[in-house]
Amino acid sequence: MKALVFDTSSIISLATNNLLWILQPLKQKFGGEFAIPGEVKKEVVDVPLQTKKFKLEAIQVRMQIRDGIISLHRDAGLQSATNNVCMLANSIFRAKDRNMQIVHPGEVAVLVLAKKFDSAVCVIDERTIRVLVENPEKLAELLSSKLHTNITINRENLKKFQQEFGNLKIIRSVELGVMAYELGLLNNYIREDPSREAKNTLLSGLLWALKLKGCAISIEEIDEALVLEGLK
Amino acid sequence: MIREVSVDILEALKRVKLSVQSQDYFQLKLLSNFVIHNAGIFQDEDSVSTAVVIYSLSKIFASGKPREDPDWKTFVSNTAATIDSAVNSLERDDEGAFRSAIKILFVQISRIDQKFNKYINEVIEQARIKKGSKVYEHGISTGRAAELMGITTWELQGYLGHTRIAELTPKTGKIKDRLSLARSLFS
Repeated sequence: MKALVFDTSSIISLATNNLLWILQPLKQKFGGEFAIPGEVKKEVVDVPLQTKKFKLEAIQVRMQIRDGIISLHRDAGLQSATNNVCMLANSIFRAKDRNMQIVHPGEVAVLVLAKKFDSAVCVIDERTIRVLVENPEKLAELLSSKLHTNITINRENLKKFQQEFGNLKIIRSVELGVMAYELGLLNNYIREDPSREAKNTLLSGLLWALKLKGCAISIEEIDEALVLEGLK
Repeated sequence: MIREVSVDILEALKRVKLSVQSQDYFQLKLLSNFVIHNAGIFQDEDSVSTAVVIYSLSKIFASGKPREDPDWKTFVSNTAATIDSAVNSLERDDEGAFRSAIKILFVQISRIDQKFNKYINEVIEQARIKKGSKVYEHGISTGRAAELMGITTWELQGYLGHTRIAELTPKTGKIKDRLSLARSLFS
């Protein structure tokens, strides 16, 4: 079974841009599962339901789960594995003789769940967990330069983490958004004017909206995406 | 309390008191950044709460409240006195008394914020988000930074999107390759 496993940040980016609706048609095209672990459900539904500001978004996300578009995975084994991996990830980097707690269990749970499928890609907008998987040395450099302190890497723990998760593939909500654009799911927005200029406005608007709601994409990458789509 | 944290907070609070008395909001902002550094490394409650208090004070002083208002004058003198209490507590290694003083500062800030502002506790909530973004900027994840600051990931992520922090994200892959991967999933 193949799956896209979503983390908290990617769902937040989509929800706060009123784009959760693209998940159903994308899932149909994908032909596999869109999954989240229990820790992510807690962050994207249970916690915001207790607030005023994001209650409506939480209800909308809950509906995606209720309607089976997003599958919730929650069991004791996953929880236990998440706790262990979280402890491992949070003991890779050390500063001032202390392990640095750099990631949250909800972020780690996505990686753990992804490994349960035959083939899975993670959808992660959050920077730290993505850089930890893809290039942990660069994360050490970032920590060191920003905290103005020497960061040491526990190579053994890093090796264990990389052996388990280093091969995971990651995309972001912006890549999903571009797929929605390429598949014509957004055509209704520019139905009256499907010109190149209108398409540029649509796609750049989509990418900027996701960026401004917290997807870690740079301005340079947005421009590059527009060039790749032949719109710039 | 970790010794290094205690020393840094003590140094900061002595300078905070001077800045409060001179109502120097810019210096207060810098001092809050100084304290939040430790929050990124040690992730202790004391660094977090002290940084939030100092940043909240910087916003209160920057907001142009009517300086001749008697409540304002009382606020400034009470805040200075509470900071003195916090400093004395740290010098005596009395962590409990220090934390009580910080709580009193939060109450004092809330009261003056409520008097002059439409929204209750807006300054403190915004301070938590702002300091959370600083912790994130240091390299800590969104979820962890939000947890540390006592706010939701939703609040922090929404704020981060409007900063330039994403421009400083280490390059770990090309968007061209991510798009190719995405296309392979939906073809």
